[in-house]
Amino acid sequence: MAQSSVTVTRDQIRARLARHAARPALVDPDGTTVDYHELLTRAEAVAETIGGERRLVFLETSNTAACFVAYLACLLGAHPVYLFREGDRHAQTLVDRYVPDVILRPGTADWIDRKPGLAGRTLHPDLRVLLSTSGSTGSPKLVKLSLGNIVSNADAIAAYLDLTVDDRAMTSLPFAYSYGMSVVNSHLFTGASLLLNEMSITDPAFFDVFARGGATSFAGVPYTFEILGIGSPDWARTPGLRYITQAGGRLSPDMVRHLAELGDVHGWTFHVMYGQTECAPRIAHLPPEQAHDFPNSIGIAIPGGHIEIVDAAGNAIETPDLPGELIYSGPNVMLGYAEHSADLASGMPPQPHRTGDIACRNAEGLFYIVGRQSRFVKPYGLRINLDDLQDKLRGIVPGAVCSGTDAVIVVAHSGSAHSDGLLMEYLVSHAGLPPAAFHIARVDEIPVLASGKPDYQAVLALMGVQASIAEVPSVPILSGSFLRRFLRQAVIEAGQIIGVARPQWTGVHHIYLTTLNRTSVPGDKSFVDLAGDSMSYVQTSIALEQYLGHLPAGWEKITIDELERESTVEQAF
Amino acid sequence: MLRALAISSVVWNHANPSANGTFGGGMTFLMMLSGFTFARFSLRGATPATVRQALLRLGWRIALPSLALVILSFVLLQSFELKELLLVSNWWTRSRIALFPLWYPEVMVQMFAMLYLFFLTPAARIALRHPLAFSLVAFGIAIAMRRLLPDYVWDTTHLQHDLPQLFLWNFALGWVVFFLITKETKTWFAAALAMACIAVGAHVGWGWGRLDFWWLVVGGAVFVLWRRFIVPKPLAAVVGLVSQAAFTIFLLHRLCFTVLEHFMPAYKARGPGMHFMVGMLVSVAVWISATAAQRAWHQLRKPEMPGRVSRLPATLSMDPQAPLPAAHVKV
Repeated sequence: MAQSSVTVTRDQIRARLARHAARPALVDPDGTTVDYHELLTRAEAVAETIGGERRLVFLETSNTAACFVAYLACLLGAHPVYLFREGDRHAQTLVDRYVPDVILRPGTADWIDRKPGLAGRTLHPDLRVLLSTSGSTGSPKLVKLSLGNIVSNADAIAAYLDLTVDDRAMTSLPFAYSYGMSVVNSHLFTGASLLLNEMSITDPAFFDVFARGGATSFAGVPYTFEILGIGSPDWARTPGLRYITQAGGRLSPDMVRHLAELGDVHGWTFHVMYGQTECAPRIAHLPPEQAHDFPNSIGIAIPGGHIEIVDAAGNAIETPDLPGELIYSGPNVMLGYAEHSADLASGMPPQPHRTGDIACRNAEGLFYIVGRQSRFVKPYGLRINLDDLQDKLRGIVPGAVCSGTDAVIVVAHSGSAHSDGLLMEYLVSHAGLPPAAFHIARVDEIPVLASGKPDYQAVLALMGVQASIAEVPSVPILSGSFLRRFLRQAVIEAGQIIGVARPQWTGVHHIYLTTLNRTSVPGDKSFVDLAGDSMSYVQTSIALEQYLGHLPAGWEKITIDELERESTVEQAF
Repeated sequence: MLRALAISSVVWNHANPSANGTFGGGMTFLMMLSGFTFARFSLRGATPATVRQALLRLGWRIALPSLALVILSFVLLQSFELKELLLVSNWWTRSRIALFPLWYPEVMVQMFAMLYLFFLTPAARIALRHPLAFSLVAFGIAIAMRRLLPDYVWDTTHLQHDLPQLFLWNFALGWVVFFLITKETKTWFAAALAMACIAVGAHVGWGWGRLDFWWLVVGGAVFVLWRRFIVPKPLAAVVGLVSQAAFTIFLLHRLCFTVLEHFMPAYKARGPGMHFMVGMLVSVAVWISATAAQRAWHQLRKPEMPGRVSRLPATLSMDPQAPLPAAHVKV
């Protein structure tokens, strides 16, 4: 178990940076380089400008030298710093709530804005960095991190990525995002360098800049890899690329395997990672050589950390593939949350962190996520409070229970068949999501825990069972009734094919199920992923054009969900 | 459009053998198109394993209906030939029992087997790292084989060179065209190089005196330069149907001729037009019926709501791997 805190002093940070004095730290695409000596000198100057006393600093971040200098200045000056993005809609709320002493906007003429601050404020001695847990919540909560948290996490990342002073990461994520911050920390505390960049990975010039700037790695979230997968894989051949990291959500196993194989072909490695802001943020990583065989896994705990799976009663689960909550322990676990200014005074040594994710450990000792215990899910990127939704659905069908993941919401009820239709109608019209985002399961009894509360994990498991029975026709195939329905439907379909009847495609899922002759098509798959080929592409492309009204360029590599979002039907939800 | 025209030309060619193929030659264009789509869906951004899977899938999708038709031909004509059942008769003879141009599925399936073996080798990784260079090299080697093997190794004129190693150039030509004219790399130089490869392939593979040469050169040039045609809606509908039904038309049109001649011998004297129309219409009708049946099957097997509504038991294992008890499977 690795729960002890790591004490890191600002002098140690100073010594670490000074050790690489002559090496490049920050490299601008125009060739301008800031070495570690200059970085340290500038950071100390900024720290001095902020003041000798500890102050609460709000830092407007960007991936620029000025911003990283200001960040290091806060660490060296022991000033707790809240990182936020320009245009962050919660920033003003947080300024009002925490009343910072200083607001830094590096790179602007008035880069330092001194505020009256809060008289008599107490700041926890270890508190260094504050990050928002989620930009999309109505009430932002800040995660309090110590220097020990971020340095221990940076060192762990550097260890499993085998970072050396010759590595150079091209910044590809917002610095105020914990994943983006960890890329910066892990490189600067190792003596490696950063290629400064504000472009998105999907920008056509990204990889030109990457190659010209001598970068060796970049970091991405699932969305960026889905977009990269659509276009030409020329990027995979970018000279100098040594490794790629992915975190920030679940990437489909097929995509993980594909990227790992691309890496094998082109000589780089692909690292799937898992973390939470509360852990500064890295918790687990999948060794790249395991990605082929276990693409759905988050891997193992980072060096110095420990993962445990526990049941509802808090007992450790050792049985492989039995789900429970993922608990992480390590020196990178936060000091705690802050919801008010007074919370900045408190802090606790690293405690086992309950992630709220439901996970399993497989026989090989690798972990994989199967769902979330949290009552918030984000299907299609839309944040849904399952408790709220459940309350509303109970107004339609008493006793209905909602569970879900970031991919799908499962509604279980023990009402009549008629209730299915009522629930679905309500969901699609009120939740702002397409029908594919929901599973409705009629059950004899709602699964409950010993405490009498709904067993959300069991409700979630209904989804997998449903998939296996969906293929069973409701009417015996050989009955006269089925044959009559079949013939009638075949005549309708023939009319649509010939063009005398309007095509009745209900969605891209329907098209792919039909033209690829499959019983299921996951929304995160594309035509190519689903083994579409020259024998089926004409039929598929014509059907897509009928449904969407146009054929998007590169449609064959666009996921079904993305194509659904192109449709006017989808826009109506 | 070009796919529909090419398959129509194949049917016309077979309907009109005495006229020496006034509109024939579409098959070579279809094979190039097949290589093009293979590169598009299965070579771009691929790994050796995914290419091998794609070859297997496509091979089965060509082999299975072909075998079904071979067996049907055996039954109808009460004759049997093992080489045809094994899809290898093209190595011995051009004459066949099968009531369709069996050489094409034979050549394709055998070519896929050759490629499968190549994609097992370490060279495959290097090839996929440089797909354009690989395509050009593969095309170069294949066209050299087409030029040299019949003259210096084995004269296959009696087989009309219908062998996988002598048709690889035609399939690989599709890869070359794809990687040269994809959006990212398309330049006038690339387009010119693509057309030059097409011309070289057409010349070495067919010689300028054959319609196949002109089909490939003219069709290829239109394909490279002109990726989109604007046509009236009714014509687009017909073209779309023929294009979608291309493989079915290829498999069935000869059978239609045979049936037509057997039951209505008088029509044989009425010229190729009747054969062509019957071959096209019946094949397209069969494709429409089969596709409508398949879609109807899917439609009826769908759960009652698009959001996948089901009737489920309450007692469930929390182990996602656990099998569902049979008694619980009720809808």
